[in-house]
Amino acid sequence: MSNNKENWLLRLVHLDHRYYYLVLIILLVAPIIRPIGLPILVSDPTRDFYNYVNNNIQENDKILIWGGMSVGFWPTEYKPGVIAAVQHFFDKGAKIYWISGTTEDPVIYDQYVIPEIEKGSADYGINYVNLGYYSGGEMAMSAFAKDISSVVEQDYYGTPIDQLPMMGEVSDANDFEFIIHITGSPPEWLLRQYNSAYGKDCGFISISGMMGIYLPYYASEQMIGFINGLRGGAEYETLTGNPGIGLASTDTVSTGHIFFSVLILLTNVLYFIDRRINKQ
Amino acid sequence: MSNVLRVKLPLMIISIILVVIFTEYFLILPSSISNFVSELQQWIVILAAFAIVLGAFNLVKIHLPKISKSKEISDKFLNAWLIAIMTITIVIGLIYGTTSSQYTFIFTNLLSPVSTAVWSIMAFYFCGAVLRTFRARNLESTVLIISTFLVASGNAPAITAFIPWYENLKTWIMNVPNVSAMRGMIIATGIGVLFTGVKMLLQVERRSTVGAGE
Amino acid sequence: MIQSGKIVQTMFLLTTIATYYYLSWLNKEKGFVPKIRKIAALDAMEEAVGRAAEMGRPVHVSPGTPGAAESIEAQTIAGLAVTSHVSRLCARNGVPVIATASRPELLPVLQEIVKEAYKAEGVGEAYNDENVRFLSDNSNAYAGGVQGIVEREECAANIIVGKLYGTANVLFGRATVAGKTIQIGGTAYYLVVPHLVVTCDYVLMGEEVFVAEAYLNQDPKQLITVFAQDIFKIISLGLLIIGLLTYSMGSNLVIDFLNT
Repeated sequence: MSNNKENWLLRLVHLDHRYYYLVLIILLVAPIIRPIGLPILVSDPTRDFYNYVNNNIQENDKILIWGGMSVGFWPTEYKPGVIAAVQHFFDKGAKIYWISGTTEDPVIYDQYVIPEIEKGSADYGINYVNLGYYSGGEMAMSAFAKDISSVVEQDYYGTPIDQLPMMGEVSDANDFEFIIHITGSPPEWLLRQYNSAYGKDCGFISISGMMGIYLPYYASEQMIGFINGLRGGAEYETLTGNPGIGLASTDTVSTGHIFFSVLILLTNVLYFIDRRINKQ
Repeated sequence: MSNVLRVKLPLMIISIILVVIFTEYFLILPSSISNFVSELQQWIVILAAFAIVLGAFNLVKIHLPKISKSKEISDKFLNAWLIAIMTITIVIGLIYGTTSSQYTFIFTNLLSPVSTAVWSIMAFYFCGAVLRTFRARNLESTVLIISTFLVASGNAPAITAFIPWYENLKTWIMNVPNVSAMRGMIIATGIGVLFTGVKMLLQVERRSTVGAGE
Repeated sequence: MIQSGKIVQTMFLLTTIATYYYLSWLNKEKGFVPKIRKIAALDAMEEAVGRAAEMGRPVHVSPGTPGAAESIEAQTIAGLAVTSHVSRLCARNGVPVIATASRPELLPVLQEIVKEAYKAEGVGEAYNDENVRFLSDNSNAYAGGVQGIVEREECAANIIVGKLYGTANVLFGRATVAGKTIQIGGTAYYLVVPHLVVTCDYVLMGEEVFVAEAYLNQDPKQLITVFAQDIFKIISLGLLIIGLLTYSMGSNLVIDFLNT
């Protein structure tokens, strides 16, 4: 190999990583500034989640949502799926009971979720409620499933639950039609405490990286379906016909994934070039 | 503290509670025992909440002395900033409540952007990790790289919208090899968790109550 | 007496206890002690601490990032066992150990473990309370804190074994890129294992985490439970194969049996 070519290749092999970071930033920001609007295929787990809600949830059915969000993941991972799904629940006329397993979650629901939803004639305390944060993780889920009043005495705003009409309609897990967990954690907690123990239908809204872990439970039909991160949120928006932040961001998902795919190839090409040069 | 109080008593309490919880789950028992187990579950919820207070005290204990002991001005400032922000948030939460506009201002304008920024940095760490470590050194790493490439590119809507069979390939990788491997690990992990419980029940596992010397 | 749908589960639990007692009897009467294969990640801990001693730099160790109410769960207990072992190695070699907790309720347990490790090595006075820290229960903040400690205090080794979530990349990533720290990660949380494979020098995968305590202490009681675990893995595998065959032939025999 000629000296010039070798020098050029060596420089490429040992290129400062910050150039790659710069390319990544450009590829992530450019589609936001100038969207392309590429179509999106809907995956089976999202489609099953949507079909279940569409076909099985009737007006006044009770949906329990265990929120486990952290605010760092809200804009990119949770927001598209949560807003699309919760809007769908409101459109079906379901009653939403939101209880939180993380400290940030009730504030996210109060400040970021509810203001974005078109509630129509739904009223707080009658059609939807924010029960606040309860520590204890799976223990709290188990205690709530057995006897709601043993865990919850007031809602997030301090209102005693006996002053909230919709709380008089539920006493334990058996009273809910659909249980959802919004989380970046594995699904075992909810499946153990509600699906295995009470036979309840469970669905999940999770972050992108969790797909691998949810698939075994989805394949064995322990969960109805799941909405997986930004892409799952975009798919759900496509199904409900309410385009939002998810669909607007799919171009970024594309460019990001293509960048990392190319980076993997490039890393190995450069690795083999480096090995060849060193052998010589 | 005597050995009985420090070691034997906690282990006995753990064993008794585990026996009660196991038998309540598996056997048909009088409702008084079910009620006791429900009571225990509520205690855990309360204890977990108190643990947050413990954490706050520890943060103050570690960082407050550092304000005077640190040599660098930036270290002094950052430690003081941590204590100040924690104190302000706690005081505002206690005085005005967590649903107040003051508290939600801190949440939406401080915590939210900072958390999002920390999570966003991960993209660059992953980029650096790929550049450093994703190399086909042997058969296993080659299989890893090929499957990572196929799944990562298959997740790009731009590709799968125009090449539908690519989505099917990605879906096959996720549904067949991935699910099989995950199931194997789930079963093995489940058995590991079961045996950890049995070890605690039989007092073989003592790490949570005793230290290295016993 | 036994709740319906839980008979097989009850028998399974009782069989695990009976198996343990039988193997204990074998150990007492016949000196039976099972052997565990070499696990590189666990052997590497001594090498990492030795390297830290040569370089005069501290070691960071953590029992992972369990979520709320997961502080005393199986992986965290395994992580505490590794923390104890690493603390003893550090105390023996005169290496400062920095132990961090991501749950406040873990902090007193961690303090006790590190203090006892120093006492067990006869250097109790060298224990420094300030080196056992609670950082944050927010996973991003904790990961940032660990990064900061590893970088500012120039740790020669970063050992985190226990329950890890998505921030595993952030916990190990920066030090991986810098390349100056030996990193040993371990978790039984299957989704995070690939992150560790990419970022760490040594990885404990899946059930290797649960075996850590037995491997490090070589305590016969612990080794026996590992052997019993493997027996039940084989039984599960057998049930899986029989279930697969019977289900393919149109029978729900194994499913019905397990649901009895």
